[in-house]
Amino acid sequence: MKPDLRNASDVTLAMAIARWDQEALAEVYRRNAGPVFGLARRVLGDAAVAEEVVQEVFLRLWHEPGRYDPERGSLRTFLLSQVHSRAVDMLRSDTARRQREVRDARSTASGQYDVEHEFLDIAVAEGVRDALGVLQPGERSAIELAYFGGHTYREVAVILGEPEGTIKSRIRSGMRRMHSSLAAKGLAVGKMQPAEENP
Amino acid sequence: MDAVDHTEFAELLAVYSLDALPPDEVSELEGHLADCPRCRAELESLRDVAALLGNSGVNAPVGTWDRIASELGLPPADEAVPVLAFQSRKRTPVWRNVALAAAAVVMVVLGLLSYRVVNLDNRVGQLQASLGQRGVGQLVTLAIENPASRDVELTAKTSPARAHVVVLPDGTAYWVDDDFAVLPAGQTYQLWALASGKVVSLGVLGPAPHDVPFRVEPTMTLLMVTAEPAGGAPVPTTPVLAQGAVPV
Repeated sequence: MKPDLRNASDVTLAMAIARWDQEALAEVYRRNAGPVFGLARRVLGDAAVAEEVVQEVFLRLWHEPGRYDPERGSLRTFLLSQVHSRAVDMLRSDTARRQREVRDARSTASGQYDVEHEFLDIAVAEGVRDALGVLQPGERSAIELAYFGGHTYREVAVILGEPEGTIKSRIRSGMRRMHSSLAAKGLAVGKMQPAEENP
Repeated sequence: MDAVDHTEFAELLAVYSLDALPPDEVSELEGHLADCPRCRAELESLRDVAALLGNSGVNAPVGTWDRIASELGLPPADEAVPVLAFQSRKRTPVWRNVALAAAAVVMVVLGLLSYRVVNLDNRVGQLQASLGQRGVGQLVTLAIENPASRDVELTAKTSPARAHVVVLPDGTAYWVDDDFAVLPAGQTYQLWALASGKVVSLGVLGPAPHDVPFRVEPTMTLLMVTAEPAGGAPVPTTPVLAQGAVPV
């Protein structure tokens, strides 16, 4: 590993990847693979399938680095968004749903984890825990079923026995509440317009 | 924009940020997002929240990176081939004892180089486009104001034309400005560096470069610029227009 890559910014790494610098991709992987895999596994409930999605997401970054826009946020946010979207797509396919029913309880996770970034994650984890704490129970269950369960809001409505409009409102108000809580702690979230409805 | 429609779409943003919008509702919202900067900004904030929600501290499985690396499928690069110096450090197999085979390899490598240079132009250009001119301009301003940055002035031997490059400590560099003439259609300026005695391509700059990001490795001691056919060249095909030493 080139020493300068260890401290390189996301923009520098993305530019280096655009120039086919494999070590830059390796550095992006080193920093982000753990959380990216963790989210995929939580949504898919299967470590082997999650690993496939992780590979897919990093290879896509390699082949299409221009999809990442540094102005819109960190590479971590971009990769998590990519892996979530792909995991949900897989979950909604019949094959993946069957795989999910046969959950593999064994964790194969034993890769390296960067201490510096782990520390950062602890601070983030505390912020997220606090943000979840400000949610009303109905908001939290709707958001968790949608995000970690990979369910559409219509499916969430069926699961919780509530009207679809109620679920949409709960997700929106809950996400806004979390945004306010995270922003108050200085965690990197952009500004949001005041709600026109659904305080 | 219809205010009623906007409100209806805005209510779906949180659901969309969680990938929880049913497929049959996605295209309509994405159509609205294309025309509504306010909704795009709100969606970015919501996605930040979603990403934090999914940001856990687990480890990736052992072997995942090896599988990714094996999937990259990059051709092995001869270290004597300058434009591939940023890629693999593997050497090509030694077929050179067989004259016909060597000739074939040269043809393949030349074809590959042309492809890679054009692709490099596309990949870097795409990323620059996604950065947006305003965003790059801000980064350039920050780089110039950074007291740890180094300035490289490229001067021409036969004219007063100059170019200015700023290099940050992490190797991020920007072609800031120049007084070179705008090149005619079908040509581009291309930046080169001397690294460990070899000339390597740092990428194409376009016919009228301004605020172009690139990367300078610690081994690079001299920057040079040439005018090349659009898409760039694997090795310089025209005389160096200007050059400047990278300060240590």
